[in-house]
Amino acid sequence: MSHLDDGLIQELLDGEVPSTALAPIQAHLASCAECSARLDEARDFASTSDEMIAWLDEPDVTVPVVPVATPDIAPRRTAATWPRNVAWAASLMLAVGLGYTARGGLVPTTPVTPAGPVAAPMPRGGGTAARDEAANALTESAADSSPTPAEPRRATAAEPAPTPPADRDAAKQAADNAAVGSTEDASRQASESGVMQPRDALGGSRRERADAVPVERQLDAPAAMGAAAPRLVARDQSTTKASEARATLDSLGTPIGTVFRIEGLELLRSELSGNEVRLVYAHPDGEVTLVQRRVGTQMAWHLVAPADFPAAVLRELRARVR
Amino acid sequence: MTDVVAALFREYHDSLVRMLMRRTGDRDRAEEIAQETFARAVVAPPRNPRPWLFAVALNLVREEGRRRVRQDRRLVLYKAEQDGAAESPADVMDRHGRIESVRAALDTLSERDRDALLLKAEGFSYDDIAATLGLARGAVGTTLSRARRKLVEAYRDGEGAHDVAS
Repeated sequence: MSHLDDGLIQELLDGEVPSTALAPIQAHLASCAECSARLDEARDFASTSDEMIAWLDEPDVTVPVVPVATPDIAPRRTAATWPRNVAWAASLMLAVGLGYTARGGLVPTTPVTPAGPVAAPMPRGGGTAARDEAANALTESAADSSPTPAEPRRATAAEPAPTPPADRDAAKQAADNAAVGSTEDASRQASESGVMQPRDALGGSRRERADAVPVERQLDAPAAMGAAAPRLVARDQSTTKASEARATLDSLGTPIGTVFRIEGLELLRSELSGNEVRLVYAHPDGEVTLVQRRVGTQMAWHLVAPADFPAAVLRELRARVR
Repeated sequence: MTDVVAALFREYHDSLVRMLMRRTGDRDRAEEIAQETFARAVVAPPRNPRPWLFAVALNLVREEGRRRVRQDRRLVLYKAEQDGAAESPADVMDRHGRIESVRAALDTLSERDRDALLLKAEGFSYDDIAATLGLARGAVGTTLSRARRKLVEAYRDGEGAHDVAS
């Protein structure tokens, strides 16, 4: 047998040679030092290049995960919490140092809950992501056999000004009281518009959540479709119930474990795509999206806002990510 | 139709974004291009989806070199600051330097070699690489051999030579 060419050596390394053709190649390698050396060299190049490409995946930003405080689930701000955060920080250092990135499965734990009472979706801002545009394309395609969704209307009573964390509960209570009469409308509109509603706005409770669609079912389509999925599914199923919307929101928090949020802003909707969660908030200057993804055992996050969004306001919002 | 695209999204989105991020070095651009790719899949569902999706995405990357995707919808991205205790400035510089060196080495490759390498890193078979890039199946091994060697040598010739174990 003649010497192995570079292409065949690569095929050998990549497991692309049919098993029936392996015998003569192996026999040649056993007797040819030159080809054996070239195979070793090619193996080194392959492993090194694979390693180098993996370096490109190292996250730009990683921060330790912090627990999310929810009204109906006791916040884990106990003495037992901080050692875990320290452990996360330590593991972050290891993960970054080793160039470790993982995109594995998500572990169910705490559900996410919006910061404030939201009644209705707001019109989209001027700068929307391509993700949203793709979502629209998908949604329009899905809407062929479903009723035309109602025009979104701007929430009025349930648009509290951002409040400091300490005042949030009181402000929330006041806003809840003001929005009591519109809760049902909000739920109905959530179904009509195809925009998922935060659980608080829908009066979510443990009892009501027992009626919710199982998380597995919610994750099946929306999680797969990412940003496009919640709206796609909701509009595709024009009879979507408020409980399903709540279950979808729950499903975001469930797999991700702990989720960052922007304190004092109204959560418009939550979207899950793979290991990435996008929380879309209403703001007078336009929608702000808190994008967070699981990177190994850590969460990395960043804010996305329209191009004309005031930079100073965005900086202030960054400081309110908890 | 949307069920089909949903299945495609579920199966290929992460891999596509990862490949695009490696290719462009920009997570948001990668997400944008991936979304555009899936939007096109809605219009014309592909029969051989994996090569189709990646081929469309790579074409969009090339087009973007001349015309940014949705230039009028550029987003302002504010990245969270690194937790000070998590990584020292020296570590950050090392990491960024290493990434820049790898990216510079990738840029020395021809487009075909670079794309073949990135597709292989996503677990593409030789058949799928050939279908995605329009290569003869028999040329894939040679292409990968050349690409891997050139990438490593370019890196070693550059600043990061001391970082790569051999």
